[in-house]
Amino acid sequence: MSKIINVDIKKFSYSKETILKDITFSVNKGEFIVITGLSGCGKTSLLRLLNGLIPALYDGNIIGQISILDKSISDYKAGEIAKYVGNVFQNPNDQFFSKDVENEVALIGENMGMERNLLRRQVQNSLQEIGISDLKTRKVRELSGGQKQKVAIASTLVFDSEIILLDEPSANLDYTSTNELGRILKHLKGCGKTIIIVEHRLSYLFQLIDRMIVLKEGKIEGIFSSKDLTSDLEQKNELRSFNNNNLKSVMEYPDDNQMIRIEDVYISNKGYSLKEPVNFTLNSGECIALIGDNGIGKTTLAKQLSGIIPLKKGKTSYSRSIKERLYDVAISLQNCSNMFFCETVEKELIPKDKIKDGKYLEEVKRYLLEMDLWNKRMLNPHDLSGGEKQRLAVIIALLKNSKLVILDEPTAGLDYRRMKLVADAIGEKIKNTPVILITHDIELMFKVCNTAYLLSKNGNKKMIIRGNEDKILDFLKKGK
Amino acid sequence: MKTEIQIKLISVGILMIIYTSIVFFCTMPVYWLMLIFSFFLAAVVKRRKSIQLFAFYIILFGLINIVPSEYFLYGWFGAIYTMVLIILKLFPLWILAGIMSDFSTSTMIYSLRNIHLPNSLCIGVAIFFRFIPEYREYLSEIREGLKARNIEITLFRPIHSLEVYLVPMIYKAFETGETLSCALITKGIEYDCKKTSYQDLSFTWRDYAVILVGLILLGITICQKL
Repeated sequence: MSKIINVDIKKFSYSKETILKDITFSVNKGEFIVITGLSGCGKTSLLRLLNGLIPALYDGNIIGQISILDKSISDYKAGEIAKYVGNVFQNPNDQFFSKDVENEVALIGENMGMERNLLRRQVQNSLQEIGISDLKTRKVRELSGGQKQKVAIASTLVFDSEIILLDEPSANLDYTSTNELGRILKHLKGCGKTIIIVEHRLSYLFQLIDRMIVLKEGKIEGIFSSKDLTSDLEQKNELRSFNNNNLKSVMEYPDDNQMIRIEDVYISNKGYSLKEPVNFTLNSGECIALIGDNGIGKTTLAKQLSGIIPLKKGKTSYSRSIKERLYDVAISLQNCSNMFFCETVEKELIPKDKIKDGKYLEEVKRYLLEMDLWNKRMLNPHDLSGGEKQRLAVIIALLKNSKLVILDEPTAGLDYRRMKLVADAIGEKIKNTPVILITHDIELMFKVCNTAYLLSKNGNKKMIIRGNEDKILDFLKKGK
Repeated sequence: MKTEIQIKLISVGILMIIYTSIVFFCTMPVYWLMLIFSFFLAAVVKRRKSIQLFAFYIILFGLINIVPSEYFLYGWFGAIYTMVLIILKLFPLWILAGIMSDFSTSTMIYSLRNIHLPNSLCIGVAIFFRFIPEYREYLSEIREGLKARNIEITLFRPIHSLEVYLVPMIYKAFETGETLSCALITKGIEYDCKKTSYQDLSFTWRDYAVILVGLILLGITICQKL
C-alpha cells in the first residue's frame, strides 16, 4: 500500500519551548487515524504542521520533514496544499467566511481557480454527498452546530481532496449531532478518503479507527491498531471512554431534605416556547442533569432560572424576583469567555472587597490547585486555552455564595483528566448546594449526577440515573 | 426562496463613488433623484430592507421638519440636529452601503480582485463586512456575561462601562479572526492562480444602466457648477 503521508519530525518548538519531539509515523491511503492525548500534549501543533498553518500563520522551528503525496510540504506553493488536504476546525461558528452555504462550500474552488460550470456541479455533488442539499441557500449563521460541521465537511469534497484533517470536530456538538458526524465520517472512509482526526471523545469513532496515535508531552506514547483498543489502554493513558453504552452511574441517591422547588416554569425566549411546563425539586446532595434535544431550550431555562432573562410564568422557591435570582444563583455560561472582565485570572476570582478575607483566599487557592490552573493565575483569562477557560468559569460559579449552581456544558472538549477534575469539584459542591448540570458529556453525567431531567416536546420528566442508564442513552439518541 | 441579486457589486460600487463625489455639491433636485434611484435599487435587490430604510428616512425627515430649527441652535440639541442633517444628506450613500453589505463575502473579494486591488486588501475589506453582524451578537453575549457575574453598568462610570464592553469585544474579534485566517489559509486563499467566481459576475444591461444613471447625475452636477 502506498504511503500518503510521511511524518518525520525530530523536534518542533515555539521560541524556546519544545512542543514535539521524535514524531515519526506514516499514513496509508484510505486509513482512519485518530490522534489523541491530554490537552497540551502537542496534538494541535502536529495537525497545524500537517495542514501547513505552521509556518503559514504560526511561527516555529521545525527540524525534520513532512511529506504529503511523496512531496515535501515545503515544496508546495503557498496555498496549493488545499487541493489535497481538506480541513474541518473545532469552532463551528468562526470558521465560515461566506454568508450562505453554497458560497461557503464553493470558496475553495474559487481560490483554486476552478472553472464555474464545473464548480457549480461540484458544489451540488458535495452537498448531496453529505445529505445537505436542502441547506444550499440557507444562511450559515442560522444553522445548528452539527449542520455547520456538515457544511465544513462538504467543502472538503469540492476539490475531492484525498486527505481530510479534523480538529476536535465534536467539541461543540450534542450527542445526536456527534453520532451523525460519526456516520458521515464512516461514509467518507467508505469512499476511500484518508482521514486524520484529533479528538478527545472517542466513543463515536471507535468503530472507524484503523490506528490511534497517543501523544504524551510532545512524544508518541504509542501507536495502537484497532484490536489494541481495550479498557486497560483507556485507563493507562487517561483517555475518554471507547464505548459509552457500557458506562454505569456511580452516584448514590440524593438525601430526602428538599432544598429547591421549581414549579410550572415555562421555557420561553424570543418567539420560542416549550409547551410543557418544567417542574422539579432538588434535595440536598443532588446534582441533576438537564438533557434534551438541541434547541429544546436547556440554555434558555438555565438563563431564566438564574435571572439573566425574565421568567414569564412559574415559580422558583429560592427567589421571587429576577433581581434576587441574579444574586442567589451561580451560573457558568456555555460561551464562558463572556464571563471574564479582569486582567488576570486571580483578579477575576478575588473581588476587591475580599482581598483581605483569608478564608476566601484559601478557598480560591484550593480551587486553582484542584483545577490545574494555579500556574496560570497571573495570566489574562482571555489568553487561556479553551479548556482552561471552561474550568475558570466553573470555579467562578462554585465560588459564588449561592443557593443553586447551574453549569452549562462545563466539559465540552475537555480531556479525561480535566473532566474528572471538574466532576470532583462538582461532587464536593453538592454537599452544600444543589447543582443543575447541562451536558451532553455522558461520562461526566454518569460520574456526578444522581438524577436527570428529560426535556422533550412530549412532556418533561425526572428520572434517577442509577439503574436507568439504558433509558437515558435511549432518550439521548431519540430525543423523546 | 432567495432571489438572486440582479445587479453586480461592482456597478453598485461605481455608483457609490460617483455619489460620494457629488453629494456635497449637487442641487436639491439632483439629491432627490439620487435618493429615489437608491431606493429604487434597494427595492429591486431587497424589498424588506428598502421598506425599513424608507420608514427610517421618513421619521428623520419628519423630525427635522416638524420641530422648529430655533430649538436646536445651541448645545447638545444643536449637535444632534446637525448629525441628523448629515445623515439625511448622505442617505443615498447609506442605502447603497446597505445593498453592498447584502452581497456574499466571496463575491465581494472576487469583485475587488477584478479591479486589481491587492489580494490582502481585498481579504481585509471582505472580512470587515463579514464581522458586522457578529458584533451585535457579541454585545448581547457580553451583556449576559455581565449579568451572570453581577457586574452593574452605570452611567456614572462611563470609562469603566466602556472598558467592560470593549475589552472582551476585542479579544473575541481576535479569536474569530484567528480561526477565520486558519480556515482561509487552509482553503488556499493565498494560492497564486487566476481566481474564479461561483456567482456569474459578468455585466448585463442592468449594470450598464445603473452606471449610466450615475454618470448622468454626475454630468448634471458638473454642468450646474460650471
